[in-house]
Amino acid sequence: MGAFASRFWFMLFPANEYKIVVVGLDNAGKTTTLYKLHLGEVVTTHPTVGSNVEELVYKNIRFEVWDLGGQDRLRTSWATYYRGTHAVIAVIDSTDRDRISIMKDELFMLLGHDDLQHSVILVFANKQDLKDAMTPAEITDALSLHSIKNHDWHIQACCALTGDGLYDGLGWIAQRVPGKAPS
Amino acid sequence: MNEKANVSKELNARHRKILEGLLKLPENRECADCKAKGPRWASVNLGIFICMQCSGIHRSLGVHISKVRSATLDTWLPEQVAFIHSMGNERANSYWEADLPPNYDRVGIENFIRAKYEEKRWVSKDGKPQSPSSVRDERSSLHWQRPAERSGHGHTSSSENLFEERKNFQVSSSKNSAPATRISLPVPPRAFEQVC
Repeated sequence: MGAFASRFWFMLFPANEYKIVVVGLDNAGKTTTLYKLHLGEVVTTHPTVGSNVEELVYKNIRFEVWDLGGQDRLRTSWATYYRGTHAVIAVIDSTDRDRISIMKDELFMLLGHDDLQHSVILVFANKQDLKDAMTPAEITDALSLHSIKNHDWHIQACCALTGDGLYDGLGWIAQRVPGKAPS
Repeated sequence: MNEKANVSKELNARHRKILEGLLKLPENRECADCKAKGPRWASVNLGIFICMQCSGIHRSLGVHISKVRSATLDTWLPEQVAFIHSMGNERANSYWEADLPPNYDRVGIENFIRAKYEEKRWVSKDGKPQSPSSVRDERSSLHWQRPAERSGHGHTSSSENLFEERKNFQVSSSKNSAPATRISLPVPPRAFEQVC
């Protein structure tokens, strides 16, 4: 029902540009994901203190992508970026089993935020190239994704270093916004 | 279970104070890897303070080798604070850089860091412990690394500051039931058995 509602919402309010916020714990690969999509190359990253923003065009749809810092104290400021967000990308370090429960808490906290009631949720199970990476099924369980009722969600295995899976994920978002917006 | 949820605001503030104190120690005033001044980041499982530049490289090693946290922006678990307190840059480097030639040129810092922690290129081959600074050794083994043996009363401590820190840690351990042994070095070196 939530899924239908958000699609309907986007139909009613098409935008010139769709806003995506990229969240996740520190060192999940948010910045690497953003710049792999934006530049097609792997950049050397440092911890993001604050945010990065870039514009992507994919399938004729323009996305404004905000990559937010993942450190504890930066997470409290995520909510200030939520207004007008069409899609949330949650990037997971699939090898970081110790902290997946923290990500679950963060995820459900953001799902409850008023500004995100019409947003769709894409989970990137990143770092799938590493051995000992959790599978998307394991992450789905660990994050209790099936208990998400009011948001359309999707999990996508990916590797931000090689780019594998990134466009599949973005494609999923693209299908959920009403195509090229009227100019 | 989210262990960090157990770290109260007060405890977090105390941790921050302890970390600030550690960052003021001469050995921790420069990055453990590139020697840049004023590091504000750390590897919690290696027990070292590093600069932001090097923290980016550490993050790319994977969490099985190095877990990077900010000394100022992250919430630390009590055992993480305890471990970095017992380790620190000098002691860690006496292991990781035991066989490093003096005045080694650290140009190409990423290669250096990968050689140091991934290949363990300069770890002493004979496995002999380097003698760490005695003061830090005492601090760590007496008060920090064996929470199971600690009782809630009557330790003598050499400085008020130390007592303060120890007290803090006890408070924390009573609130957080996580065992202090959760932190693991990638390969526990024999030299460090006493602190792991």
